[in-house]
Amino acid sequence: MSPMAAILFTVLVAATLFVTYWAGRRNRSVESHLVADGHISAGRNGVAIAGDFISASSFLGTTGAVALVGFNGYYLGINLAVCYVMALLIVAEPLRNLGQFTLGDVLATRFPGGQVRASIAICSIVLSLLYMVAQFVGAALLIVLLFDIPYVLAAILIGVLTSIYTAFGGMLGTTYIQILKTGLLLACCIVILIFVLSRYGFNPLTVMQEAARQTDNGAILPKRTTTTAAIDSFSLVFGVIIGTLGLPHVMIRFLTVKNSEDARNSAVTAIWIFVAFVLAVPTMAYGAQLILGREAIAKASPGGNLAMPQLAEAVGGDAFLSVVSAVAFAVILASLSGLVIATSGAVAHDVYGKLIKKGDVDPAKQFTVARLSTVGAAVVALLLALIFQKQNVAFLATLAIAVAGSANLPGMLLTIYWRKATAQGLTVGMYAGLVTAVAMIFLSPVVLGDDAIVPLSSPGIISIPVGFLAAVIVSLVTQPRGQDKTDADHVYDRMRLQAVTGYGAATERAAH
Amino acid sequence: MASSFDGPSPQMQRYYAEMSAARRRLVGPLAVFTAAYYLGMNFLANFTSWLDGQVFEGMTWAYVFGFSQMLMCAVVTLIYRRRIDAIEREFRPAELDGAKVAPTSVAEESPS
Repeated sequence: MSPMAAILFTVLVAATLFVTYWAGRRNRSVESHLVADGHISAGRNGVAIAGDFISASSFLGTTGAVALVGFNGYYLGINLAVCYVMALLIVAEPLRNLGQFTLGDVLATRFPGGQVRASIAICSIVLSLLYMVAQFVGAALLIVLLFDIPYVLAAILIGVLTSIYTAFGGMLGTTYIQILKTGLLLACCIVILIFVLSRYGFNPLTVMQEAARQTDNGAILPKRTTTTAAIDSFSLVFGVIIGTLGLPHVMIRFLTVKNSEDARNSAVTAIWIFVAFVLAVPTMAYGAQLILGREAIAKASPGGNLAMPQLAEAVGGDAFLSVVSAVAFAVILASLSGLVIATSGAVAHDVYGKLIKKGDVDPAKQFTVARLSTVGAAVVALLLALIFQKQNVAFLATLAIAVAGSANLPGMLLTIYWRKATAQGLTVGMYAGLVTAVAMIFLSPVVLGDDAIVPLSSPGIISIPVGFLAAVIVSLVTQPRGQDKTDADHVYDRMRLQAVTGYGAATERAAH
Repeated sequence: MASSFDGPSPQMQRYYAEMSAARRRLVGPLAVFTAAYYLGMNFLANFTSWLDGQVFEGMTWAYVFGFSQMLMCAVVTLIYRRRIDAIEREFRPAELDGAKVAPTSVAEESPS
C-alpha cells in the first residue's frame, strides 16, 4: 500500500467512524437501530438505495466485464435501473404502508400466526447469510488486490469495521455511510469520465467507435455461444430483476422513510442515479479497454474487477488510484453493513420478538438483541469467509437472489395482491422456492462442474415459477369456508386499504 | 365487493378508490411492459442476430436497445409518478398526515 493510499484509507475510515459515532448517539431504540425511526428523508434514502445497489460488483465488476467482453457485460448492468422501476411499481408503497421493521411484518398484517413469519424470516436469514458470505469473500479478495495485504487481515478488517458501523450506528449510521459512499463513488465516476473523454474530444461515441475499431466490432456486438448458455443468461437476468424485489437488505430501505409518498420518491431518486450510472458505464469501460488494453486488464484480474483502479492510475496517477481504491473499500463496507442490518432485523424482530417472545418483548432487551445479532451476523459471515477463502463462492450471490425471488417474493406479492392466498399456501410456496433454488444450484455446473445434473447455473427461470405455483396451488386447495372465509375477506380488505393508503399503518406500528 | 371494516372517513374511502383504480390501471401494464422490454432485449441478443447490425460506426442495434432501456425506465417512472402524485394532491386525506378527523360509521360499507 502506497503512503498516499494509506493516508486516504485512514481518512475514509475515520470519516465513517465519525458518522457511526454521530449516529450512535441517536441510536437509542430498536426502531432507530433497524429503520432509523422512519425519519430518513426521501432524497437521502434514494441516494442510500443507490449506494446499496451500486455495489462493488457494479462499479468494479460491470465496468470490468464491459471492458473485457463488451455488450454482454453491459446488459447485465442495466438491471440496476430496471429492478428499481419494478420495485417502484410493485412493492415500494405497499411495503412502506404495511411494514415496520422487516418483510415478515408485511405478511403478518394478513397472516398474524407465526407460521408465515417464521417461513419468511428463515428464508431472509438464509439468503442474507449466503449473500453476505459471497460479498465478504469477494470484498476480502478485492482488498487483497487493491492494498496488497493478506486475505485474513482483509477479512478481519472488514468484519470488525462492519460490526462497529452496524452495532453502534444502526440503520442511521449505515444510511449516512451509504450516502457518503454514493457521493464519493459518483464523484470518482465523473472524474474518470472527464479524463477518458478529454482524450476523445469529449464525445462518448468516439470512445465506442475506437473500441469497436480496435476489436473489429467485437466490443459492441452481442456474443452468443450455446443454447444452454443463452437460456442460462436469460435465467440469470430474469432471476435478478424478479429476485431483487425479495432481497431484504434492499427492500427494508423503504421502511426508513415516514410514508408511502417518501418511499415512492426514494425509488425515483435512486432510479435517476442508476440511469446516470448505467449510461456512463460504456464510456468508462471502453476507455479502460482503449487506454489499458484488454490483456493488461485480464492480467490484473481475470474478471476485469481491477479495470477501474487500473484506469484511475493510468489517467490520474498514484493519487487517483489511491482515491478510487479507498472509495471501492467504502463501497464494500457500506454494502455489507446494509446486509448485516437486514439480517439482524429478521433475527431480533421476527425470530426473537415475534416467534420466541410472542410479541411480549421488553424494548430495551430487543434493542440489545438487535445489536448483538448485528455483531453475530458479521462474525458468522466472517468465519464462513475465512473457511471458504479458497473456494469459488460467487455462486452464493446468484443463489441468494434466486432464493429471494423464489421464496420471499411469492410470499410478499401474493400477500399484498391475491385475495385467495392462504397461510398454508404461502408457507409451502416459500419453502418450495427455497428448496428448488438451493437444490438446482447444488446440482448445477457451478458445484458439480462437468458432472452437473442441471445444466443451468442460474435457477431463477425454474425456481421462481415453482415458488409461485406451489403457493397458488396449495392456497386454492386450502381455501377457508363459511365464517372463516368472511373473516379472511375482512382481513384482506383491511390490508388492501392499509397497503394502498397507509390507513391504520400508524396504529399497526404502535401495536408491533 | 362487500367489505366490513370500520373507521375510514368518506375522504379516505374516496382516496382509496381513486388510488386503487389508478394503481390497477398503471401497475400491471407498466410492470409487464418494463419486464418485457428488458427481457426482450436479452432474448433478442442471446437467441437471434437481429441486434447485430450497425446503426452507424461504433453503434449496434444492441447498444441502441441497451441505451433505450434507460429512456424506458425514465418514461415509466415519470408516467407513474405524475399520475400517483396527482391523486395524492387531489384526494389525500389530512388525517393521514396527522390531522384529527372524526371517525365515521361506515361498517359494512365498501371502501371503493
